[in-house]
Amino acid sequence: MLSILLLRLKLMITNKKLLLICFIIPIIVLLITGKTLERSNENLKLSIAVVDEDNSRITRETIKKISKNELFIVKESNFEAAEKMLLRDDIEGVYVFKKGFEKNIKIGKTDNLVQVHYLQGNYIAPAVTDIITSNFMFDIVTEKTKLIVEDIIYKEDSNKSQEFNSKFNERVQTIHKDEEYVLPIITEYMNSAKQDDKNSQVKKLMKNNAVNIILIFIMLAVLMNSMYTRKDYNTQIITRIKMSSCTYLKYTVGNIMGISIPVIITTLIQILFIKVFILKDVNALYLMFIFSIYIISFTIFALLLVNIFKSIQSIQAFIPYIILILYILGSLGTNIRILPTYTIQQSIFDYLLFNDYGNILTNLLYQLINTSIYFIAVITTGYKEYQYGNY
Amino acid sequence: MEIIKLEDISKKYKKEKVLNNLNLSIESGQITGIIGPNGAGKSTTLSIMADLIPYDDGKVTYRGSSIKDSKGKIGFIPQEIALYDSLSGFENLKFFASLYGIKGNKAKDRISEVCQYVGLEEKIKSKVKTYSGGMKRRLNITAALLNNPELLIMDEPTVGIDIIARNNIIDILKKVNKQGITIVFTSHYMIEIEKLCTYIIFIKNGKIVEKGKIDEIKNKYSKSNLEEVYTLLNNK
Ligand SMILES: Nc1ncnc2c1ncn2[C@@H]1O[C@H](COP(=O)(O)OP(=O)(O)OP(=O)(O)O)[C@@H](O)[C@H]1O
Ligand SMILES: [Mg+2]
Repeated sequence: MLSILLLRLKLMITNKKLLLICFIIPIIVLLITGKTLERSNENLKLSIAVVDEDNSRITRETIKKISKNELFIVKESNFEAAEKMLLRDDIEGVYVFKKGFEKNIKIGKTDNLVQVHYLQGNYIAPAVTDIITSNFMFDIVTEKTKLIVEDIIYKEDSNKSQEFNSKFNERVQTIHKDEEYVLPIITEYMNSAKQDDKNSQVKKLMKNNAVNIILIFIMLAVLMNSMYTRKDYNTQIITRIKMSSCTYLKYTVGNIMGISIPVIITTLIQILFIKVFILKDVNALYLMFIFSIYIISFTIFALLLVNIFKSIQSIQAFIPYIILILYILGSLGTNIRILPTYTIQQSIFDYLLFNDYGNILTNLLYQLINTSIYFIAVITTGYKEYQYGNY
Repeated sequence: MEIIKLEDISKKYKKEKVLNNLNLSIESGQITGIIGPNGAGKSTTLSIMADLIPYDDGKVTYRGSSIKDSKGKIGFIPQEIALYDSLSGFENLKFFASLYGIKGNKAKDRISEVCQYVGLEEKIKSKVKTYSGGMKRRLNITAALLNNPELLIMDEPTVGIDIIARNNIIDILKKVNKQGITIVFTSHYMIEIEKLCTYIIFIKNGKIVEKGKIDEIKNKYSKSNLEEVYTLLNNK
């Protein structure tokens, strides 16, 4: 097993093309796209949809204010149309100003004012929510409400009006004192209650982008390395391996480790590179952990493909079809539920490639399930050929 | 005394019957050549001897006991050049030695020993893809000698190389045999068979047409060389 591991490592190191693809190109791409994103920072606009169920003065004004902000492109529509846009991924999120918004604010009821809908895995929507909350909602809660309270309610009974006013002011003051305070409905959607800085959504985009680039090169490196294992069969080296007491299990586990360990190491270097040069606040440890598990899982998956398609040529020819199949399966398996409190988008594509369930334990669990399924499949598909060969 | 014995061996690939009640035994300490036309079943026979593939019927014994007990005692040289050409000869040998648990300094010693033996010392540190055909073939044989086998099974070890390189390999195999290693191999070069073997087995359509000592067979058909015997047996 260790022999096979060291062999794969050696084969990878002596392969200049592979080194270039797995090591050097991703770092260059990361650097270029990282810098480009940083520069396009200012032009970056985020699309959101706003549904004004209340259609009151306050909601209209708030929406106008948000629209004026240079950060957003605001599309006002009804919920059905907004939902469609969301599913098409045209917008980051739908912000529903619920019926009774104005009325609730007037009586000091500040929960359940706005519902946010976004697709799972979208890092931007929570950040947008943060911005809207901190920049626009406090305006409403403080000044606007006060004005309206003075203006309209209890006009004829000045005592009552004053009483309400002082009560409301108390509440507003508590809000100002309490730094942790955010509108309750919005808290539900935010993973981090802490305020992000102005560029948080750009940073999140950059992080997403970096993760995607690393992911693509991981897939390339793993696939290429896995394809090279076919050489053992084409050159009958496999008979030498079989003549020794190396079982198929040992051979496979050796291959898995021999392919994944170098890729894990290069990925770690890339993540460190990102942390040092592009995104300083990226959680490197978390990424490394998730990626390591993912790389092992994908290595086993790639070996499964190699076992099924056998020759390097047919694997290469089949890659577009594999993507197409995953895509079709993904859209068939897409299970999108938009509920007031949470949104899920989960496709087989996500499931096969990268599970981002936010929670590290769920992530781990899904990856372990995937990996075990692939492992059993690899052992069953490859055993026969190893045992009976092509003689 | 026989080292390996095949009794009533039958082998099918899907529906096609490749070996048909094959009976043969290999004499210990001798060199045996298996000859016959393309597709006769020679490679299949060798693979069964090396316990590389399963068979449908019959029995294989190694020194009287199960072939499974022969693990590590047989060296097998495939028809292809079974080497990683992006690695050096030394790295290849080191890997194959490690498969047999030969590691560290022990591996180094063993590798230089076998390399000296086959005359491969000079280029052993360069990549296999820079080797000539003859050198690759020699390295291919060397890799099977690392674990000091009792029996060496070779499938066309000299295919595609020139006379000088072939004679070189013939000399090596003679030397190997002198050390007490039994050799079984297939070849389409009758001159080579005559130079090396004491015994031959002629297979056609998965059946043994003739077997025995090479001189006795030549006398039996009153032919002066093996090529004529081959032509005769093939047309039979
Ligand atoms: N893996 C396989 N699947 C199906 N048929 C096979 C397989 N390997 C060999 N055969 C068939 O079995 C028969 C014997 O093949 P084998 O390779 O043993 O012949 P051979 O005597 O070694 O021929 P050659 O001299 O060309 O090497 C051939 O008809 C071949 O087509
Ligand atoms: Mg053959």
